[in-house]
Amino acid sequence: MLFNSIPFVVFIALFFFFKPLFWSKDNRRWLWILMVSCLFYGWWDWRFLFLLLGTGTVDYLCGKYILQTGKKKLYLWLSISTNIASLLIFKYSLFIAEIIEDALNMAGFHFSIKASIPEFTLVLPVGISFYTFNSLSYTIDLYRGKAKPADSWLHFMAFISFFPHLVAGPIIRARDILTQLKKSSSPDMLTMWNGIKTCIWGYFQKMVLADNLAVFVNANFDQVDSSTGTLNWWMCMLAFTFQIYFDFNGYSTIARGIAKMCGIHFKLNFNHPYRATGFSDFWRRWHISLSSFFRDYVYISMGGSRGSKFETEVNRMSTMLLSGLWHGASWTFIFWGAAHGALLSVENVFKKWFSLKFFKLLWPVLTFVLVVLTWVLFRSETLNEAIQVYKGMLIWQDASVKELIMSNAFIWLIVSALVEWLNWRKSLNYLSKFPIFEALFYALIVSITIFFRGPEQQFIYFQF
Amino acid sequence: MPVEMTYRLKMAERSMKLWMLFIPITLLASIFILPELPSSPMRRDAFWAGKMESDTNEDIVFVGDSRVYRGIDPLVFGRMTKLKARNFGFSSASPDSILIEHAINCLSSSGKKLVVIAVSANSFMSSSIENTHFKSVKSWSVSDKWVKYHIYPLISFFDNRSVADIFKYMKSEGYYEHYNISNGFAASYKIPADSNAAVPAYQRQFEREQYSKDAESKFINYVLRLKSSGYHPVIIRVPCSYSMIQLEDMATKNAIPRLMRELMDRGIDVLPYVSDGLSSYDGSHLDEQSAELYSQKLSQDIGRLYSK
Repeated sequence: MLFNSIPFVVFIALFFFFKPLFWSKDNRRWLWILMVSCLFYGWWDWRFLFLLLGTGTVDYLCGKYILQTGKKKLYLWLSISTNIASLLIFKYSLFIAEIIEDALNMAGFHFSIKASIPEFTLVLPVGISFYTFNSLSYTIDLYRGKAKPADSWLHFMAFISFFPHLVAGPIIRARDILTQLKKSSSPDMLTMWNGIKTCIWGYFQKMVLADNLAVFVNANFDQVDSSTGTLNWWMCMLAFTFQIYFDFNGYSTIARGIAKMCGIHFKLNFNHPYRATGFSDFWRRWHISLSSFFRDYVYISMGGSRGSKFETEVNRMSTMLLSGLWHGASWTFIFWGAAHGALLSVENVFKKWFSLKFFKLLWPVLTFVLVVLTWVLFRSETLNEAIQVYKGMLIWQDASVKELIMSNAFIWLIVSALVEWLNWRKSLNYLSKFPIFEALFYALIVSITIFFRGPEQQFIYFQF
Repeated sequence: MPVEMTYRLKMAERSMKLWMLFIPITLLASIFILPELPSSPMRRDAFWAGKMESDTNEDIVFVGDSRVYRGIDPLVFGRMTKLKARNFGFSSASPDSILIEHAINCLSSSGKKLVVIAVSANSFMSSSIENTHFKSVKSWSVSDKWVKYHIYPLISFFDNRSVADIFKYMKSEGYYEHYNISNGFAASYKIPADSNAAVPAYQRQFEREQYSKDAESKFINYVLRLKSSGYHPVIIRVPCSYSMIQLEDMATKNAIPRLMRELMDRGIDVLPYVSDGLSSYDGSHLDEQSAELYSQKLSQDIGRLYSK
């Protein structure tokens, strides 16, 4: 179910209408969360509920045995391999088959592995990358002694499947959420209102900014061969830069808002990433829940920065390659991860230079431009397509500036830049002192969202 | 509870109540203030979903690309011939077996089973034979189609507006479509009209893509099969501007006239290409008035065939 669809509006209205009946009683609450979350997920394809419940059950049992038996490592690896296996089967099987097939073809053996892959594995279960990581963090934290176990299977499954974060994150940790879910009290009026405001803001980002920019971006990428003009391609990539941010941040913000309305606090997933002063700073601000997952469970597990400088860079690059691969089974994502890994290493190796005043001013701008350039790899379906876009951006070709400026995308690009780079928080906090103006402001944002929304688009991160 | 917290709770409660009051006011004000654009996205979705509805009582169906859904009005047919007609034109469509079968499923089994198929050079180019638009509409889920067809027309005052389109509309510029959801026709126009506007884009397409002889021969075989199984196929070429026809015929070495001749030789009804008195707003599509005139002319010609 999409947050920006009519069925979801009906779903969420019914959820809050019936919530008081279930929320105050402990067992009923957990069951209610699990049931509505299964309905939310099953709306897309009910068959994949078995995968969600199956991998979740394995992780719950592994967590239990990690604490109860002396074979902690065995159960940790069982949990890790179950989750990795489900990712390999459902997300990467086709990609791996392609690689093997290409390698065999080069060696002179011609036969098709792709054709023999079972059909059901070709459908990517929505949110698989998110809920497997949620689940993994639970068993790893239990192994490390950093989390308390869930009281029962029902509690664990409610945490894994809690619908606001289920299909596109943020990736949450059991230690942050389980204790909050145990509280039966309903949120006070202030929290409710903050939740509503957060949702409105998220919907505005997704439906107005991201979806309007998507029209221009998709039109160009649908016709990479015939789209021309250097300015056109720069505008397209700037539009995508903001589209992907507001699409994903929009989703995370709506998820935070809904959770808040249930009295649950999700950590911030984006913190104005395009205000970053460098690449390390960018990754502290972009998709924070994923970055911290990779930092805590991959980078640090590999040794982090404890070894030599060379080892640190190898660890960093490996983590970024994995992060790229997490986004999708394609070479473009791997190259995107590698590009960010390389830029992080460059920044780290030359960090003395960046303390100079000149670089302090220049590097944030250069970081933004390089981030825009790396998004080309992320958005392109193939490396050839990416090369064509790079050519379009870097080899001068004329384009009608008037047409670009008069386009819908340009207007929303300007609004997006203002939303990201102006400091709104102070003004919004000030506004909350005047209920009449605050209410009018948010009512206007709702109207703008309804009447100026772009054509309905699926959330980009659903495919991951 | 600290005083500050009590104050904030009170403010939040007041804001939320006022917000609930303001929501209908701002929505109503927006509906009145914002211009209603002729090309309604919600009605457009309902229009495409309507083409997926499986009524089975039509006497005649029209199949083809955007020239068909913008150029042939089934209402005019109904008025002039008393036949029940429906338009199955889709953007950049190719008249392949899947599309035609989808259309003929809506024909009444007791009627003459007239299937009017429009051919154009564009419909046999490699990008069109994919039939992307038709397939994407067909792939909408049942619930999605139902919501779009039954609910969207009722709430189309909540249509989304494009800021750039509002500016263009205020300056009387742009492409517009009025959708007839029940019969699949869209009356369209462009301000200012320019009978060469679409020509460069088509020229680029013809340079990039090849006319598919393979798709053409599959089409011929399918039309012959259609006739032998009791249907009455009629082949037409929807009029467009003189420069467009010249471009199409030159780029494809008269493929369409040749195709029409071949079908005629093999016993299929083919209506001659006539564009007198008709005008296209972009070179490819007929404007609203010309669509009406063309539909009248077509209904006379097809009426004659029907009475055979």
